[in-house]
Amino acid sequence: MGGGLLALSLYVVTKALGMGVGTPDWPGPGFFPLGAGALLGIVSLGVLARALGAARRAGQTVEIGHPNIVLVVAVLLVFVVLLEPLGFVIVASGMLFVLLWRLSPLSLPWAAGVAVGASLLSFHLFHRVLGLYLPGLLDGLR
Amino acid sequence: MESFAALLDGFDVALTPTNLFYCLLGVLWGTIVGVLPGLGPLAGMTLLLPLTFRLEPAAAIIMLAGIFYGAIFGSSTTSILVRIPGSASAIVLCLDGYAMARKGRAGPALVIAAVASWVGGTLSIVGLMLFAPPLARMMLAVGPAAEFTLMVLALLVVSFVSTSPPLKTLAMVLFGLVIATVGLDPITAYPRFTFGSLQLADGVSFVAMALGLFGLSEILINLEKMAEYRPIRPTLRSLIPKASDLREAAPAIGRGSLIGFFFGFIPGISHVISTFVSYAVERRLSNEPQEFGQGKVQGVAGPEAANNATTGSCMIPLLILGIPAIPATAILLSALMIHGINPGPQLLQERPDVFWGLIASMYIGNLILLMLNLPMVGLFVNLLRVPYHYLAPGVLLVAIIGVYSVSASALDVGIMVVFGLLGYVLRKFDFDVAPLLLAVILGNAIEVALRRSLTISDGSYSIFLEGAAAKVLVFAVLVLGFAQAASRLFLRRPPTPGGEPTHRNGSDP
Repeated sequence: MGGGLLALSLYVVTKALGMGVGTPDWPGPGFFPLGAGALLGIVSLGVLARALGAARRAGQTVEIGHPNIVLVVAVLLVFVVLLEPLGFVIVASGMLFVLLWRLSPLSLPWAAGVAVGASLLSFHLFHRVLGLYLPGLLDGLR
Repeated sequence: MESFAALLDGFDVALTPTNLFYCLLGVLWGTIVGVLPGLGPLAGMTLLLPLTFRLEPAAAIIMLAGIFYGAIFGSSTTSILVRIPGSASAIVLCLDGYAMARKGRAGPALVIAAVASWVGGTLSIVGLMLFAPPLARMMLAVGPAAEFTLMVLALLVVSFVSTSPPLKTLAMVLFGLVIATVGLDPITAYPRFTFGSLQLADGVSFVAMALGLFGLSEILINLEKMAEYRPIRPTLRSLIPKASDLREAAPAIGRGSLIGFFFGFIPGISHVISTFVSYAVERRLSNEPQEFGQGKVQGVAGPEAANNATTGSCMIPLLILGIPAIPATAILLSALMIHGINPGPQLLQERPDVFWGLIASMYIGNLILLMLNLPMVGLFVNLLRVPYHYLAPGVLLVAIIGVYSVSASALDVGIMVVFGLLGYVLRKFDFDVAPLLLAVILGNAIEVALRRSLTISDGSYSIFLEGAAAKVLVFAVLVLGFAQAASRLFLRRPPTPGGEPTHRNGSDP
């Protein structure tokens, strides 16, 4: 993480210098990102140094990337891409179906039925009753 | 005495069947939008604003105010039950409120939150009634330099709240300030880190970030341990707080109410800062500070009282000066102006029915909130009986709807996913995400206050030491900074059962 934050700080500082830092009595758009980015860089070095020291001493690891997590993130990313082209009901049904089928003890037909039912109910409640905007069926393809 | 007589006249206005109905409608709708993640008082009020055009001015304002404090209360419910903050001011409840729920004490957490809300809101209304004009004049003394120092103070306070090592907390604060620079520069409108996207010109969506960092990351962490996850099965007895809970909560509620009232009339994001300050105060005063984050009653009672105590005091700048302190009161201002009422010093004289009718309705509305929500505690808590493999997809769906509906933007949902993954990784490596979110919320305001102060002072940083308000705040920052450094240097954290000082999980990367 320290390395990631350090890389981010270098990027921010570089970009901020290009935006124009301004003068002390009229700070420009790059003034605040430069300051915050530079401080982040310094602190990141500290975090990284402590992490490297701790790793040498302890030798512990952190596990990331459980299959359930990969599944949920992948399903959500597909949801984001397809939401507006295909509409809420289709994409939400697909998302719920995959999650219920893989995470719960429900059989395939039950997972499909619950997914479609829940999506339709949610669309009706939030879009029709509460008036929140949700993309309609195949809105993006018309 | 005069105020009391005027208040009685206000009750005459508020207790008419029509106004009572609109108060109830506002409070009910406010609670619903508060519970739904992604919506908040602003969205709830905006959705019903057109309805108020046909109403009498008093009824319109009473309903909109009901939505406002109803939503503030409602947002605490999802924070406690599923660790999704319904609004920025409910973030703190994700700490001890959620921890209480995980220990099978969701009922007491919700009851204490409801009572704390009612007490905080009621005391705030009393303060509004008694202190409105002089406090409004004081508010004018808070210039950009004092605002900047106040917000730096808030970021310092959050370091007391954080459970991460101080260097990691500072990294999260600075990371948050960097994220806050995404979008158009608030002074020159120069696009910063927008990558050509019009949607990013407005900055990174707070709702998407909050739901990602707290809600989605929590779901991802729980999915890893799903085999060990047991649904909570609350009994009737477990819904009721113990007498000891109420005894512990009472002083926290009193302190939180004072903190919330004090912060509420300062323009900006005072209602968010007040909850963090209250949490930090409770932790500092506690005999068991190491228990905070594990389900301490004071960690729920204090911040929730502070949260609702801001509702009364944030009305003061609006009603007395015509200046909306927070966006939600800007909606109230627009409703007043639509009805031809100009808030300001003359409002008391020209339209006492609106002024005192609003204050009286806030007493009634707070009572309705308490009566409405206490019986529903059992219903809310029973959500936790649902096995996680059904609960998680349901919560995800509602979160997505909430995020998408704010700006009809799929990009916001994508941001929620990215921040959810980021929050998951950060928490695995013992980074606390609360300071990150607070820094994002305050970032733009801090930058504007800093740059305006430097412009006013021709580039001199001595402006931060001028004026009584600024001096008090700088002193508070120095004291807190010294206390923080001293406590880290001289006080060891209590060891965990394994013998190591407190770190939640994982090693440093």
